[in-house]
Amino acid sequence: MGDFIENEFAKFWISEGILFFVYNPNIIIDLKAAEKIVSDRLKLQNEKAYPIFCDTRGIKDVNKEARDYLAKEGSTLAIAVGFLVDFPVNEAIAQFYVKTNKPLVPTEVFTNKDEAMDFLHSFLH
Amino acid sequence: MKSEKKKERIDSINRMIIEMASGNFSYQVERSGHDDELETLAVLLNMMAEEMRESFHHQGFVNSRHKYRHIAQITFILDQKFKIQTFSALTAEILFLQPEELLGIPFPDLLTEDSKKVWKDLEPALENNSFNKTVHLDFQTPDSLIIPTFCSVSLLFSPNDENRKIIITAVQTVVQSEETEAVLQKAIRNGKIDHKVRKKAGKLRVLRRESDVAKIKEVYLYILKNLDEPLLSLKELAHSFGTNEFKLKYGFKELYNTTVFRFQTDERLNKASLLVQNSEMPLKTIASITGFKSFPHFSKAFKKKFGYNPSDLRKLSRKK
Repeated sequence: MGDFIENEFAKFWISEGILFFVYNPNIIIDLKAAEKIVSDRLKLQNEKAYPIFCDTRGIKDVNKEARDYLAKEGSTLAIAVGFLVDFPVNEAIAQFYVKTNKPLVPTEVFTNKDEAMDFLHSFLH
Repeated sequence: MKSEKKKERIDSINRMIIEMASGNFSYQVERSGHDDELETLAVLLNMMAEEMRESFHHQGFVNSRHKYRHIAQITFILDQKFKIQTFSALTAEILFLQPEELLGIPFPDLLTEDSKKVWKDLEPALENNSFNKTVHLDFQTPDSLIIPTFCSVSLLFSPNDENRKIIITAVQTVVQSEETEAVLQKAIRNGKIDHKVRKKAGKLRVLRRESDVAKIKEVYLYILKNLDEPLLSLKELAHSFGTNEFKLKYGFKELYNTTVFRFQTDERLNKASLLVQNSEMPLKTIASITGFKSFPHFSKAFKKKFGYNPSDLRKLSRKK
């Protein structure tokens, strides 16, 4: 697999030990979308686990089944996840997800990219 | 004009809160496309309703609380032109419409804009005699709430092509209406109570306290986070989470409708299947990181659950 993948939901690539994941604008995630997202990410990773920078600013909505799938199956080969969000709707969705659906790996929500990167770098060594 | 729109949005949120307070978690507030505090509230309410709907279903396993809920069916019969010919008793009530308002109208008129498109894509396939499909359709109520459903759409058998009819059914959980309660009471009076109802009512409820439920949920997360580790015995596991073997064993079953060990095996296999299909990781490595002691043991369990050997599934997914 190459080191850049783009599907209908997001673009993702690996750089300096961190997996970058950027959602396209106005994305609504249901279970099918979540499965595709996780499957494509795993293909990119080549069996190696990474801290994941996830720019979720494009997410408009994500339903319960998708949230549960992303929290569980979506944690496969992930070391930690840092969300970059927009205030207010997008941030509320991310906070709700972290508190309620309980992803299996350390996950935090940031409105500032540098802070998200600092968080992820702490998992690199 | 602006404040009018805002009032509409608030009304729809209020309506949603009232529905939830009375035990209906089947509705959703329609999204407005704004990015503001009001929209945040709508989104959080929608997500909360989804989560609560699920915990309500859990309680269904826990105890016979059917007094508070039952399953209502939305059923439509359409003619060839997709006009509503008739429908089941609760359908209009669930959609907040009068029965007269439903008769004869085109079925897609009841759907949200997105679901109208889904329906449009289905229409040509409905020519096919053996058509039967389950699709996600969102119904739109008059006061801007949305009812997400899984609808089964089928053609009814008809000997000639002229009189084709289509049946659409969906199942929703709503609070129990007086009507069904009356049916139940009548059954009790007649001494004819369904075997299943009796069995459910007689079931012992193990998890009575919030703190007990919380501990079982902790065990659940612990298992998911440590799929590669062998599990402690039930007794040890219970003690390390501050509960006892009895509560863990029966409480876990109550909440998740499976046993602790079955759950671990299922989740190990799910994770393995994900890696078999989407990575080139050697199958032996997958077996080991998902906690299987030996490859043959892994392969056998995998085949039992998914019907494929791991190596066959990998070959298949490479072809895709």
